[in-house]
Amino acid sequence: MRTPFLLSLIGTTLFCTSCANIDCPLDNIVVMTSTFYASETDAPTRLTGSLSIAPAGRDTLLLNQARNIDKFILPLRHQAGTDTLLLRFSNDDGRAAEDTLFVTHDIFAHFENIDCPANIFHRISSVRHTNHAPSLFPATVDHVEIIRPLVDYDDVENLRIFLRSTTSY
Amino acid sequence: MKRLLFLLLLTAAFTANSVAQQDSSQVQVRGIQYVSAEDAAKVLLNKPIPLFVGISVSVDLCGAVMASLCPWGQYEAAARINFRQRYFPTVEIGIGSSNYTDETTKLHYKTHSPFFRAGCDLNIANDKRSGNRIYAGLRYGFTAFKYNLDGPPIEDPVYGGMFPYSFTGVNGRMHWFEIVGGLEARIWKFIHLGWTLRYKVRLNEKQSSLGHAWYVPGFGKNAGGRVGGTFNLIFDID
Repeated sequence: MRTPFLLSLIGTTLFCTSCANIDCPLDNIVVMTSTFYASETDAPTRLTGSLSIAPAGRDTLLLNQARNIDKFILPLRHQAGTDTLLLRFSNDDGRAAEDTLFVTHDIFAHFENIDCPANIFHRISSVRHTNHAPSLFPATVDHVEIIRPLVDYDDVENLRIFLRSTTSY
Repeated sequence: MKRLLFLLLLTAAFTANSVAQQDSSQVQVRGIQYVSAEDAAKVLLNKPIPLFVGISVSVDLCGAVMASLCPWGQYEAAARINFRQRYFPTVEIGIGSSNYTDETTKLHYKTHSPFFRAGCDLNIANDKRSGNRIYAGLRYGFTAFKYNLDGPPIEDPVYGGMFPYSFTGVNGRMHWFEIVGGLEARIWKFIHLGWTLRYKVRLNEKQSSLGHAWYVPGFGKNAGGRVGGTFNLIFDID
């Protein structure tokens, strides 16, 4: 009778102290996903020209001449407040123009697991924008809608940027 | 005269016999002797088990070992009532403890909070009198706890700057349900040893804005497997 219980004690201790699983999400990058829509049709659209995005006041490029895109992903600042993003549209004809997105958001720390690095999530509270004259570049930001305010590990659409165009862009 | 003397003698004899019979009826019976051991066992088996058999208290040795050797563990005691050697309403209380720093992420988690479980076990062994038992049971568990979480500040790789990552006294609360199975054996007189395996189901959890707590006292690792266990040292108090 002693032997089975000694074995039980050892087995239980081994079971309780056995290897732990690491349950970190495979995608642990926090980015805001924005998609392009045509304001005339409210349908998804694709930017055939190129787009570069830079934060205001910094010598950094967040997106460098991306072509033929229907969406883009960007990190947000690890501080509550407003991120000012400069969207520079251009095409092969040499035409270019710049619109500005003002994304106001709150931040909160996120804890997944002790094995996983800590991270910051964001909650978008409002978005404003500027637009340029169509004569400079045929596509401009018409309006922006917040689809999902929470910016976390999920690559889910956060913003819809509706573009107004005079011609094909 | 002769007739009177005869009657007196007869009365005296009768009285003496009655006294002798009373004396013999006051003799205590020390035991009943059976013809064979099988007859004795048969009588014992037919003897009804009382409704209230006794009370037991126990401690979980496995949790205490884990608290010393593992990133988390609990100190737990239980009390139960024995009804007819079949039904065992049980109350378990303990303190769950963790004070652990991950060597890779440098995140430090600390908690030291109580938990409570209540339920009932059913002895499904055929032989109810041997003191060895096979259990199936259910538990309801609850804990309200606080934890500290801190780690190195988070660097913003794009915009620069550091976000401090230190949180103290974060509140959490959880209700859960357990399905319990186990064994128990009497090893000496009133001392038993036993183990249980438990499958836990989270019923409700109050999270903070940080997310799920890593370790919940009484429940275990929140994101880990749902199976846990105990190894109990049990003392009968009859």
